[in-house]
Amino acid sequence: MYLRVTMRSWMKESFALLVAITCTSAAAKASDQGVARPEAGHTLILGAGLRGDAVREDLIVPLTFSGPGLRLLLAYRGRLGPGLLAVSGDVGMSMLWNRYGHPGATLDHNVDAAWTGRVLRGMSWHLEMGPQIALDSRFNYLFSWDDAHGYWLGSQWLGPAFRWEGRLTDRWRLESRASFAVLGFEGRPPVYRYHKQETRADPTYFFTQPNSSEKFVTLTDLQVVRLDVAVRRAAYTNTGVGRGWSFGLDARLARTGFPATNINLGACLYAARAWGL
Amino acid sequence: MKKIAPLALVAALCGCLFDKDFKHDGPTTPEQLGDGWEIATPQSVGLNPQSLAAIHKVLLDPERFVGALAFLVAKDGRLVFETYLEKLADRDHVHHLQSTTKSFTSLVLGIARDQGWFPGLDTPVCNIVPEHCQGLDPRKLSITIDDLLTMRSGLDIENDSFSVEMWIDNPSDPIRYLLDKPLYADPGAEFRYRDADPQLVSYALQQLSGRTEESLAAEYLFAPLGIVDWYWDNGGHGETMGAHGLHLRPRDLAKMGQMMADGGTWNGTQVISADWHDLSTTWKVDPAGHPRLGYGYYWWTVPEANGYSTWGHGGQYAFVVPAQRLVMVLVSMPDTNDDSLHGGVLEEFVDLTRPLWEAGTP
Repeated sequence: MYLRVTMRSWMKESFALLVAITCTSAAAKASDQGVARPEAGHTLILGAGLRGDAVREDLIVPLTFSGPGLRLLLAYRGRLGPGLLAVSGDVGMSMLWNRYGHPGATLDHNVDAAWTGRVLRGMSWHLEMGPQIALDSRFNYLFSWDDAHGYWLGSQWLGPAFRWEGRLTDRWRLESRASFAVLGFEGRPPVYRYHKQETRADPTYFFTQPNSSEKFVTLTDLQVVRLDVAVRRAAYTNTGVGRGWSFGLDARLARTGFPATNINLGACLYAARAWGL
Repeated sequence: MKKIAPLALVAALCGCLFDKDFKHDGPTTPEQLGDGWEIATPQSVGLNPQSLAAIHKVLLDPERFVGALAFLVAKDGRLVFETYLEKLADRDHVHHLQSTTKSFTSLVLGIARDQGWFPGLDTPVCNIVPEHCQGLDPRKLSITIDDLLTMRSGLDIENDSFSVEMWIDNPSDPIRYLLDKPLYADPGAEFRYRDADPQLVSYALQQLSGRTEESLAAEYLFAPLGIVDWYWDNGGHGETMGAHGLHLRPRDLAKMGQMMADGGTWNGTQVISADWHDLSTTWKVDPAGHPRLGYGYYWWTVPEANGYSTWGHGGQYAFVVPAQRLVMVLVSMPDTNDDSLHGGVLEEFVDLTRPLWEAGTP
């Protein structure tokens, strides 16, 4: 019960933070009335976020484990030909509990690259579209139910990416990104685990294990959806190395039915610093 | 308002993620599978169906025996009750029995002793593996097979450390590695539940026979019981894990229990001698922290039921009441880390099954 109260409290605080970000955006609109300037051609972004995760791994038990955690992210964004290349990587961890208070944890690392070009534009907005590739690895350690083995969903997928951007002021933008997997490969543990203990002491385990015994999958086997909404203060270069900010909410869903259902749902409120190069 | 939309979306997505029931009220009447089990009704062997139904109801409770997968009851050589709490497919697949493996190590040693090639139980283990004992603390040279069978070697290595150090770190000389552990007490002086002790028994069996414990079990134990499907985890040197690692189908674990209930025979074949049955299941030492139980040779004795049981982490039991030819088997998820939560405490299983064994206990 305490945990549920804590989670509710955390969600309230997260909502308050989002409202604060929205207000920041409005305030920025009032102060930024300068002449439109070109954004930096290349931007490096470093950020961190508070996140909430919910996991159900039916290979162990079909109970939902959920709880709060942290994420660190590093990204690059730059013009490449007629489009925008966005490359990002992140690592994160959350502590989880189920309705009985059984503990667990989830660890994940993700790398993706999207190249999007404009397909629609309005007076103060435009929509981009293009391909995205991603390498996602998620380990769930539901150690109250299995303290000897990790359960993973590793995937490398290809799918469309969409990016909508609207101008709020000269320097502030509202940006929304969405992508989903269409085809790729996924790695999952077997239904029955035979070994007493896994070799988790080897750090390469976290990178090699999710990519072992992979199989080709399509949209019907593996569902990965990513949504991201952010307000962004653009980085400019005409005064040297420009700096910007972004504040956003990122939501991710990954689901597979093989060899038993595994659902991972997460949302992260993040803040990131950007440097124009 | 527009900016709240993402939050609403997340909330909607969260609604897609709900708990599912993980226990199911499935059939309880065993099917005839041609696997050596004779099937009967509970009434035909004098068991009260209502008692069985009450036990089944407890097992279905999502907050009790949380990790339970299978529950079987056999009496008078017949399988009379069989249920799978999560999925029927668990009937036809092997499951990790954790420390119930130790009772199988006891059986293999008993067979070796019955065949006359295993020396007396008062033999020091270093007499069997002398090449691994050069320069050892002299007190360790006195660790006997009996000390190992009763968890009184004195070798101090916690079970969690044992799994990591032995099976992940994979020392080059695992026998010496174990014997080099410090002593928590003089050999034979104090019971401490240790995986190291049955592992040394497994090494002794391998040293004397030139075969792994699994190979011996396959020929002399599994074959007579008609067990054809098993998995037994090996160490890095090909050695059989003597303390855990054996995977069996629930029905096959029940066969072993019925063989014990019948004094070492299965379908008329003497698998282990009655002498080893009696010797290994007799109370030898007091297991610390379990006042209701005793400990034999890798068998937990249950005096209140005049019975004995295997006990594997998470809740793996073959509980035998020989005077009633009664066997009660529970197979559970093997790697849970809170025994009190998951019903992984033998005394709880003894209490759960009390209506079955108490009726026939004088």
